[in-house]
Amino acid sequence: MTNRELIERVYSNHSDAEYLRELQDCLNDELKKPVSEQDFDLIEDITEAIAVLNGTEQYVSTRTEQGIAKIKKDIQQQRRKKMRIRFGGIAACIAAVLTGTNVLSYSVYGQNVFSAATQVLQNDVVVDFSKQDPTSIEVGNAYEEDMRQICAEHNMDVHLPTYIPEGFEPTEYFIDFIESDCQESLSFYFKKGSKKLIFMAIQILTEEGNIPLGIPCDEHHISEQVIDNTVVTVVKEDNQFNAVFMIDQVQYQVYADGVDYDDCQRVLESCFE
Amino acid sequence: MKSNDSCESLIEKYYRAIFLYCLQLLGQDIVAAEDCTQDVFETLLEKKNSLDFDQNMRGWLYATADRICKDFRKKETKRIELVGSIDEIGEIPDLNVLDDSTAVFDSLSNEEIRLLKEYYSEKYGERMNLAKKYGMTQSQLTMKIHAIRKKLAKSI
Repeated sequence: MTNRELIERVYSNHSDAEYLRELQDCLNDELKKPVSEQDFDLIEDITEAIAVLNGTEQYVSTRTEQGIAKIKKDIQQQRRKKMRIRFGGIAACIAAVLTGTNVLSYSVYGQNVFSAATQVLQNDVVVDFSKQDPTSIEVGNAYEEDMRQICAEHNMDVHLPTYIPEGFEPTEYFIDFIESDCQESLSFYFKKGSKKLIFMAIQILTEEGNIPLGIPCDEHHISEQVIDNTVVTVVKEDNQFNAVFMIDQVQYQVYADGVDYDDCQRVLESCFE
Repeated sequence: MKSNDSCESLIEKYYRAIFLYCLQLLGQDIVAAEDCTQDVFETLLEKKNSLDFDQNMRGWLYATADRICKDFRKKETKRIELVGSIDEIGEIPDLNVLDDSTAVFDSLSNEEIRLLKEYYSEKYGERMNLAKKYGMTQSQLTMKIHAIRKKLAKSI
């Protein structure tokens, strides 16, 4: 073949059309086989070559990037939807925002038993963090790195527990913007058999988002502790532990079901380490 | 957390391959291929809790793509077909100015010239084996030839 003949061959669509047909025939032979017998490496190789010959390689790359982004967005939306459903399902157990209920005077429990921030309602205890005045009051996590990374990815700078009881495994985490309440919440779920442990941090985004938390309770086994100059309201009832507190515009909750109260206390105190 | 992370990892790794696969099964129908590819990974998300991610998930994805594309073809309607150009070089140089000198190949290495000659040899059927001879995949060979052609076009 002379140099001129070579160049004429190079710029002939005919030669690449032949090659394209050759590749297509090979691919079709492979696609005729049952999926379980197909050589996926060969299929991927040939389909990429066809895309190059067709001049569609860049287009495929662009559409692939867009397609991946769309699927990932769907995953994020699924996470948020699941959290709303889950919160609704266990609303009887965890703190929920109260919109207004009949309030019994906390004086039923005696003067100054609780700080002015804590009000005992008929079926709930309400903690209004805006009324807490810590100065006037006289009171180890194997997944910590993962939790910190998740917080960093979502720009949430919050205290995390440095202790999670042995045997507890993380199951899910949720990030959710509660726009109407001007809050962003982050919650981590742990399980050990039937035992549950939930750590939640609610970042208050605007003044309107600083809404009192309510903890449903029947027997009113309530106490207040002061840990590291922070008032913590704790409810222990029916083998459940619920502790709420606020630091630097973030409301925290530690909830556990079926977990030894001493372990719960350790988890709570580790949030301040 | 584990199943979502596994899904995202599979999506990153196989989305393009499944997309190209669907394109082939659907006769280069780009819109159909995009829809079916999305359906494959939506199915993955729906079933993630019941799937064993330690098993052959690649095979599962291809089998799912195959099924979805076949279902699509059954209810196929007229759609946009992607037609590309085989010749990606652009304007074809004026070959009338060429003589038989080797000057036009000065921009290529000896290896590139040899590869070019073998690729465009008389026997088209040998191109599949040529890739193996040089330790390349078909797509690598194709891209290499196209890169050489671009270099050659600039020097003509």
